[in-house]
Amino acid sequence: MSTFTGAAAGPPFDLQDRVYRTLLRLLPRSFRDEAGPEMLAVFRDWRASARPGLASLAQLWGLLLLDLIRCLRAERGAMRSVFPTVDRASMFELLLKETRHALRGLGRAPAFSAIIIATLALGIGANTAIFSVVDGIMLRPLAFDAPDRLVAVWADYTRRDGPLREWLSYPNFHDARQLDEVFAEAGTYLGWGPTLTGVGEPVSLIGAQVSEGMFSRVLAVQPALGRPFAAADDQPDAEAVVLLSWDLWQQQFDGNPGVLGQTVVLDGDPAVIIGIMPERFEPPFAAQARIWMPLQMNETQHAGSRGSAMYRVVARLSPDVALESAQTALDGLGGRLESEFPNANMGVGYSLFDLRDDIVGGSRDTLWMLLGAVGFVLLIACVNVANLLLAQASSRSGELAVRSALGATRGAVVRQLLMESLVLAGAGGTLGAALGILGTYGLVALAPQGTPRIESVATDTRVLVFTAIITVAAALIFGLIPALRASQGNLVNALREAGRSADGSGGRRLRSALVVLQVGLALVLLVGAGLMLRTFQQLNRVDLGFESRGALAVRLGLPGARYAESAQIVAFYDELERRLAAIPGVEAVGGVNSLPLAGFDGDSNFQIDGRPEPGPDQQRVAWIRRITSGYPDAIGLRLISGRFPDAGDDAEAPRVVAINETLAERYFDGQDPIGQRVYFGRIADDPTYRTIVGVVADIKNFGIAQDSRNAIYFPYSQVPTGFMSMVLRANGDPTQLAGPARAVVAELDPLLATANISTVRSMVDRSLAPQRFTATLMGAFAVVALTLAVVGLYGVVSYGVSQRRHEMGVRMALGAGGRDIGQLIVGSSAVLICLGLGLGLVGTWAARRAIAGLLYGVETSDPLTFGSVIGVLLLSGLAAATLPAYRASRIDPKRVLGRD
Amino acid sequence: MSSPNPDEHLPLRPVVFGILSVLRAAPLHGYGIMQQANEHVGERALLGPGTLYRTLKELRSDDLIGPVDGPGDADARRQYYALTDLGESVVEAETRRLGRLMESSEFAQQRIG
Repeated sequence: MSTFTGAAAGPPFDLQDRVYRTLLRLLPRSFRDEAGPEMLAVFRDWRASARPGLASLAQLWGLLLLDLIRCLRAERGAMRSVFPTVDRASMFELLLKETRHALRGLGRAPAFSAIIIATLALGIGANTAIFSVVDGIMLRPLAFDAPDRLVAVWADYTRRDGPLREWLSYPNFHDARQLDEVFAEAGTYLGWGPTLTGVGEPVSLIGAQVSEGMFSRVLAVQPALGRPFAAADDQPDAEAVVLLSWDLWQQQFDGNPGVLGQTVVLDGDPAVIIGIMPERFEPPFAAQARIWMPLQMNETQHAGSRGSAMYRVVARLSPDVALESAQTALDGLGGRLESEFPNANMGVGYSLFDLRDDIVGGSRDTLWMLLGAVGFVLLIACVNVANLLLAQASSRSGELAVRSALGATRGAVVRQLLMESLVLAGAGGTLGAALGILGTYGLVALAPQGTPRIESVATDTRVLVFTAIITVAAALIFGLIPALRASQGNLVNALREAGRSADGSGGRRLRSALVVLQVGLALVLLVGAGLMLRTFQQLNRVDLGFESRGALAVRLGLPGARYAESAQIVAFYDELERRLAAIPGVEAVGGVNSLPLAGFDGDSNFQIDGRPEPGPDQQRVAWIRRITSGYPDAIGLRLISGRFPDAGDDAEAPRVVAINETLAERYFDGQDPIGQRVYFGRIADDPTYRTIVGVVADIKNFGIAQDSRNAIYFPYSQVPTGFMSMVLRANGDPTQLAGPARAVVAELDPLLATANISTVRSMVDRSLAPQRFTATLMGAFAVVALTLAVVGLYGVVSYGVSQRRHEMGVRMALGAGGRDIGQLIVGSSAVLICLGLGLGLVGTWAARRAIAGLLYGVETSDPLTFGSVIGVLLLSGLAAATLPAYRASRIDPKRVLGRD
Repeated sequence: MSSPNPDEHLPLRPVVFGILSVLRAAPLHGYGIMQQANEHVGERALLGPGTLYRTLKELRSDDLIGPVDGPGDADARRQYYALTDLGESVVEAETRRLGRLMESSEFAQQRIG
């Protein structure tokens, strides 16, 4: 995650600048010395003033390359024969002629052309698909006016004993909003999950409560129909109004414009629909939200709760304000709040993040790695194709020699071969684009739930420009080397050997080098895939602290309007627990206010009786869970010592809690925590003391790869809440219990929505989904890479054997056995593979930092991964060499030599 | 090889005419020339850094332009160029030539029409 608080050190590496400087070296020295620096200056000015975006980048580089070719032709004459000066009309004719020529040439070997086109299509298609996703999620600007002005504001708790980043309290948000020298407008929002009743079945909705200017001034989006929230709507006692998403309007209200001004019932309270948001509105926060209402909050209401960090803040910077100066203003605010309200704000800073970076956050490293991996696949494919073309070119040296003898210049021959490459690449690119479009649909469908901005992924012009660029780049990579080599050949020798299609040792060395490169690239990719697979495996082995299989979770929220009293809520859940337990097949039932792996769900400062209260910047923080007596059995929570809170710990009984192992180790090192007392708040406020009765195992609450944090379990009836999840442990398939559980809830309260039922296992799977997705894709790329590398090696070895038949025949005539010949071939292949593996190991060392952050429970140098990858490459490589070696060992010297 | 007679340089290639016309307004540095000349040519900008400097070199050896100091606030790494007297008269001559060409073409159009 990039932050704007840190200053960048040193000049950044500028790829484009470096590429242009390298290209300038092609110019003759005299011209370069004179004009080079000025050309570079012009290039830099040009880039600085170019519009951002891929299209204008492609245009700029297209022009630059054209300009350079023209310049080279004039200054050096080298390119004159390849790109002759002709007028436009005859240029077109020439192009047409060359294309026809190329097509005819390729048509003579259809299978060969098909293999090349398919290889390229695979590589280009995979790159197109992954780039669509990368572009949609990371590169494309947010779909709002001046999106680069939008920032997320976070509280920074690193100086306290808390999470790195935290939301803001309302009063702190209110103060930040006053920084109008840097913010044009700031807004905040809260998650909201109302139940909509009165329109068919009750529906549980995901929504958000937003401050008044959030849509109209921060995001600068107006409703498609109706009106935006007004300042009057945001007053604490104003009439409730809502904005609907386009989808919700279509699905629940049939897209009827008459709903504007109508009243709906949300959680039992009436609210007036005042507008419909546009169809393409993608809220940058609470992305699943389909309904919004004003926060109806003012600063006086919340003045006392500066420590209650519940509000996420998004702001729009004033047009001329740089991020750094906004950050400076926030630093000033942080200091002010620290001295004014030390209790809640000591040690709290504020940081700004570009809103898009903030949203994309965790996916970024994965996406870059996937793009890198898929780029490797294309490189391997290009190397493969280059090798095939080299082999073909040397067997065509006779044909080319004849053309030269008939008067074709070297340029004409290079042009013909390049044209063939371009035609091949064009076909591969077209097919690849089609594959890429299909692949993009597949990726969007398979992407893990909650992937940010996945809705904005699409194959559009930007993506197709990218596809065109990589297609041309591929053609240059795989076409140029064979073309230049083929045209270098000695005409006389080539003509003399035309019948035998001999190949110089230089060609063989070049092809061997390409195989080494290919094996090296494949090793890097396979190691990457192996490490991701190992990560996934390790995550699956993590002790979650509960039993995820065989349990069903039913999430419920009791509307405050109908369940105002604690006693009502407790009575409802007691009765619900009793009835759920009576369902046949249910082994245990229990409730909790927040399920495992649910992530953030409220923490609290706590103190230990008899110990001095720590200073404000060293608060002890624990995550609070409220559980019913059946919950430990239902979820499979393990007891370490003492007892669980049980049915006896009701509202009248002495207050008790259980703590988790992490908290026990951290704060009761060496002592027995059982019997000690904790309290919340300050001793001066006469707090309630709660006795620790048990220590329980740690549960993964924030994600499987996250460390455990301090947790305190309360008996539910001593601190009831209307929002609970009931967990049912089944003695069979837990999904079978969903229907009966829904019926039981409807029996108790027909107005409650029970859409939110899932197995506990599916929650674990969902939390592993990103790693599963990455491991699957990397695995697929690795299989493609391995296949291409093996095919490439096979091609080179078997071509080499066919070229060296004569030599083999001589060796055999001189007494070498078939076995010796076979060994010779396998041995020389093994040398190539080993060189490739060595190159690959260097590559993995260079690439290790790109992947390190994505691993869990496995090192970048994991010996198991490296061992298996090297084994697989070595074995499959040798297997690929064995068949040609066997053929070579069966050569009949009499027939081979007899030919001459 | 430079000829003091402006007519010897005519007709000018479009790129040359573009660059000289731009410099006629005021002395300018490379990027400025490129930008303005490309604006004259329109959307299909044809002048890149390489072509620009090759042409500038040619124009310097023909003594049509020469290096000058930039304005006081100019960036030191940028070389400014200005028309020489010869350059000035060559652009004028070319402009006149093109003008006559236009007239005669219009005249011919009218006769045909």
